[in-house]
Amino acid sequence: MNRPATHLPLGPVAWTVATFLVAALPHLLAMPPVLGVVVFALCGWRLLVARKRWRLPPGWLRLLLTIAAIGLLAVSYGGLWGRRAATGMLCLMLAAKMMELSRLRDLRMVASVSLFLIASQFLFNERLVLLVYLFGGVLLALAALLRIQQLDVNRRTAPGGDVALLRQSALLLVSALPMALALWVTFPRLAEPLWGLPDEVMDGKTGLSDSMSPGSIANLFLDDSPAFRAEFAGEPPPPSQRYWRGPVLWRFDGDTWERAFLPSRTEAPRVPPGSNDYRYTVQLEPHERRWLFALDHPVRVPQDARLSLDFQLTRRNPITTLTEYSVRSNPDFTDMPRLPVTLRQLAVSLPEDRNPRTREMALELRERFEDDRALIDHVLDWLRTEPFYYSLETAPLGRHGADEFLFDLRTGYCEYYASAFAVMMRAADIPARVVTGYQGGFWQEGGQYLLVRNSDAHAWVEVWLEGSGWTRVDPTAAVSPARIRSGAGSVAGGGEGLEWLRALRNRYDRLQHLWNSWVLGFDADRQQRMMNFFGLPNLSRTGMALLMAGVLGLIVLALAWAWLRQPARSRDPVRRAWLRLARRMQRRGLGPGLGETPLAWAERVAHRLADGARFLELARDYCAIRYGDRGNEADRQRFIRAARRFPVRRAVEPRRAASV
Amino acid sequence: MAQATGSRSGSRRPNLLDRWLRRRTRLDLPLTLAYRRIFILPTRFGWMLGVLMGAMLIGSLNFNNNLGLLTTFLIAATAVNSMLLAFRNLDGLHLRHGKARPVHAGEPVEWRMAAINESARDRTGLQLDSGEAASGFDVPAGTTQEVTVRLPDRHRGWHRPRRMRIQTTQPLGLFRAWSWIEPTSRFLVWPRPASGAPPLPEGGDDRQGLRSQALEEGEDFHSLREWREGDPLHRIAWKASQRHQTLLSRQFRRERSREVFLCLERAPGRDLEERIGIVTAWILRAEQQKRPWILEIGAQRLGPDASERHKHECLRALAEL
Amino acid sequence: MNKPSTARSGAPLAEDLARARATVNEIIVDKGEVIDLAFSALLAGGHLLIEDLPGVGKTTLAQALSLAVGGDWQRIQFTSDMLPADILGVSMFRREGEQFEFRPGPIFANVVLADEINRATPRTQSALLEAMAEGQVTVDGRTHELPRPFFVIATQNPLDLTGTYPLPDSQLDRFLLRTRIGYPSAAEERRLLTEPDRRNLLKDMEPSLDPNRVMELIGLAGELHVSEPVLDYIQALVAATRSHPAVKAGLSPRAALALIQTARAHALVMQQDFCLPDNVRTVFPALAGHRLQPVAESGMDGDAVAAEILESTPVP
Repeated sequence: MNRPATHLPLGPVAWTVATFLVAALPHLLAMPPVLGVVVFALCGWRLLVARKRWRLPPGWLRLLLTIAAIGLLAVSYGGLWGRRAATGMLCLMLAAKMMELSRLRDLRMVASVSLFLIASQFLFNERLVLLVYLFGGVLLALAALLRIQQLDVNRRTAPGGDVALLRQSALLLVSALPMALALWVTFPRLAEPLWGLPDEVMDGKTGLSDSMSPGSIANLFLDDSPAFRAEFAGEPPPPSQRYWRGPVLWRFDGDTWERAFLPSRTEAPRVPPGSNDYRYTVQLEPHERRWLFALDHPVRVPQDARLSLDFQLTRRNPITTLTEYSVRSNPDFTDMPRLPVTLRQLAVSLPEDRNPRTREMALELRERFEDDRALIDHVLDWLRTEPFYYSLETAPLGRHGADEFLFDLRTGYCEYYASAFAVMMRAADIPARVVTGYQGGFWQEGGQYLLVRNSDAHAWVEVWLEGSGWTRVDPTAAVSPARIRSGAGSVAGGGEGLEWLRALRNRYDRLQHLWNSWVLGFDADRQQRMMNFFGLPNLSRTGMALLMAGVLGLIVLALAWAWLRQPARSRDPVRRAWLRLARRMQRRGLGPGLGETPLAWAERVAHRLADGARFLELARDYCAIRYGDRGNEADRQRFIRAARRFPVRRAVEPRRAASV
Repeated sequence: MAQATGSRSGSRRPNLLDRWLRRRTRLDLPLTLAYRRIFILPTRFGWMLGVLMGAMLIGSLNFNNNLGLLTTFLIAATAVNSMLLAFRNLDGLHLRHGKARPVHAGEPVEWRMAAINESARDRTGLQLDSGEAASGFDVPAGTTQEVTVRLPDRHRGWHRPRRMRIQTTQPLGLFRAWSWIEPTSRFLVWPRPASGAPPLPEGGDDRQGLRSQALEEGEDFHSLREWREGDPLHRIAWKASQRHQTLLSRQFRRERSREVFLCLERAPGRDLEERIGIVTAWILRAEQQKRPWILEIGAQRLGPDASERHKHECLRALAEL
Repeated sequence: MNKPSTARSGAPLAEDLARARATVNEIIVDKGEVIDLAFSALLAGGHLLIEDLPGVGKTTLAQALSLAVGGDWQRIQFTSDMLPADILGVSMFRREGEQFEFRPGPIFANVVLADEINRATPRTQSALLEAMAEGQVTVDGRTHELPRPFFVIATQNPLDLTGTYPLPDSQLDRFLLRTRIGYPSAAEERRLLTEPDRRNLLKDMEPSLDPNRVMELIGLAGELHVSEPVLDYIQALVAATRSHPAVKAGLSPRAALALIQTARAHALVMQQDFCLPDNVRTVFPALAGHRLQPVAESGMDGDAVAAEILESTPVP
């Protein structure tokens, strides 16, 4: 189309831009700030263009700017892979579209892709608050589409203004709800995903990574969002036993602890059920990694997961939606009574040229203590008595990390302690490994579940001891027992005055828990259970689809009735009865003409009705009541009944009936 | 117009659609739009959103993303509602009196129709689309609205509008509901007046041009009036004067107007069309100057007269040639 | 429940009216609607204008109507040399009484047929129209009351317009109704051609009414019940004339009042004791057609506009 781009008025442009910004906001917050600035700048500029009636920039400039923005995105994400990068790209493209927003269909395109942006946000986060985002975003998008439509029918200004627009859009949204909910409940779900996402696409928003270097989880402590929730059948374990096992790290290169191939790829031995077993169900928030968290040591492995030799629970696919699994853990199990040589070598190896002072101290202790347990107790005592402090505010470590921490800095948190402690153990020839995971959690009395936040992330050490196998040693507990007893919140600062805020947050989390259980966790299985609850048998996929079609049909009928119902055109019940009869006749093609009087109509159609004479009589009665003010209440009621009961049947006609 | 409409085959050959439509319903005015006459399909934008929704559905299903599903279903349900609303916007609308007043060829025909909204709801964002032009209109509750669509200029003669549709994409532009109408009432297009027509034929022979009838005073009796000093005696109407007890004198009409005689065969011009154009221009000029004229087309003779009605008759005769 | 077609009080009066209607129908067959309109104009206290070609029975209608009504009737053939005094009458000086004496013109009758009114000069026409409007005649400063009822049936030939003075649009609304008679149907025309002239029946016609009873009927028509919905309908029609794009000016409030009155009269003629929308519909074209002046470019006349409005105004 070569016709000159018409100037789009401010109203529809503003609605569309607002829709886009609201839809993109959560995406923008997760993006590097510079990209957000670019998006906002483009949107603001487009509004100015609409307001001041500037010209849009020429094509080459638009192209140049778009390429520059995408380049910026690629640099910020180190490539265009990953879902964040993909949605970021979408945001940027839409923002770039602002530069050539010159036609009606561009506006519609932006508004509808904004809906897509809203839906895609839920791939990252499905928390309860986002319901506000969902409804707000859709409401705005509908209002924008309504406004664009008004432009389409050549109305420059909206009748009733923007408030009327919002009201109209709210009406549309509310009337869409029943059907949307019915679809949501009955739409057949996939028992298994059709495809999983490749690892590269995952770009890990939260949670633990599969490596650890001191200082790496510091930002996690500040993240108060829930990591998972656990409901226990029976009593929950005491706080000191709430070690939720995550990645187990063996290899240490002097800076970073990493997983080792052998123990993570070997199957774990079967753990026999014990007498003190914990049975619990975990609702894991999506963290885009494969591992699940469990207490030591899982007896039964959830479906779709495997247990490695170092008792790490992993799933085949990354956890991208809220995932629920049940575990039974036996805390009394002895892990690896005998340590194979290869593993022992893995568990004592240290880079030669690092941490000389730690090594020296370890060797010295080795001389003094023959027994491993005594040595460990001594070191823990040392940590307790020397001026070590637990703090999130600390300095980064250099080349000889353990040395610097143990002898100079002496201030840090779990990662610092776990790493340095493990180094000392290994230097003393005691097999040691670092375990990351979560420790503690908040027991929700009201909801009967344990809430574990990302700020509960923790790292501890396991040493192998003759006779008791791998044994958990938590050096942090030696320094700051409160951290273990009452959770990260008690040591991570936060004033006393915020107590009420914390209470409020905990209450909100209970709501979130219900939301997770009933809404986000709604899958094929729950769908089936719900059907059973309503007394329906287990349905196949086809049966489910048929049920959905049935329910939908009913709802569409109800909607059609509600929308198409004629508002009462008269307060006179006699007239209403007459109009109803007229509508029934209309359905048979015998309706009255627009300007036709009742008598004229009756005379016209009487011969085509099986009960023509009766209809004429009825019309005369109607005229007498309505135009002659004749008839008392009884007459009126009699007429209404007669009109309701009148059988609209066509007379048998030899010739073809013509429709009116 | 704001939106391009579906292309239509220009040929008048009744295709399958035409035949099916005609069998299905009557398309001539007056019409009341109802279930059987209203068709609904998604617009281009509707299809686009549908594809987008399909992508959202598959993605959300795959990851069992329940909020994503909810968003998708919300939009789907809104689409269903918007379909019903588009239908409602047309359902029960009465269309009446399709007609166009005659114009000269070369001028756009303004075809008009009355749309009557008997219901208690406003109908907004309707469009009458003739395939060649479209015009939008609203019909508030309980009112009658005149809808005019400008058809492009046509050749002189009688015409019937082509099949038109009355359509709406309210409220979101997702669905187009439309109804076909094919008015059978004809409209007339007069010939186009020639731009450089020669002046009105004056003088010359008495067949073409002026019929000078410098009437003597006194041929046509006109009326009576009171006698005034100076009125000749033979003008006094004695009988009437006696009846009215006063002197009355007869007034005589004086034929001043000079009729113009227009003959199509003798008009200048190379061919019939050109002559028709010139005669048309003459008629308009004569009417403007309020001079009576006679039009002769073959054996047919119209006038003399200078009225508008005469003009219409003459132009119509020329158009029908 | 009463049927709309049964009459109320004054039953004998209604019967007389029915008889009068039947008599006229006997003479002018197949033109029931025009006859009903003529009776409606009479009973609404207005006047009737018939626009039609000569020879379709205008005169017969007027004659039959006047005979049925039982008053005296006059026919005035309008010509261009007619003066107002030819219609109204003149004051003459009587030598015997040494005073002026008024000699009434042909207008002093209950039913006046003003034939080819467009042939008279505007001055003469307006004398008639003034008398029609006022119900009285003023000659030489003295006022003479016209008889009651006073009903003018004027005719106008719409075709042969040369040398005539068609009534100006602004004067047309002096006539309550304007109608056409139209050609008879084929069957009726055949009967006209073969059977003896029905006009002979006029001679033997017995009047069913008399002027007094006509006045009573006029009073009865004025009291006829008009319900709210019918008033709504009338208002809607009048409003539609005002918003119609082809019309310069819609109906005036006075015309609206006339519409109610005529609809009542028509209901009475149809032997109803309340007014139906059907009555309004029947009289509306005759009442509005000549009052609505369409803009020239619309290519429509008042009757077409009235028909459009009737067709597109819903009956409440």
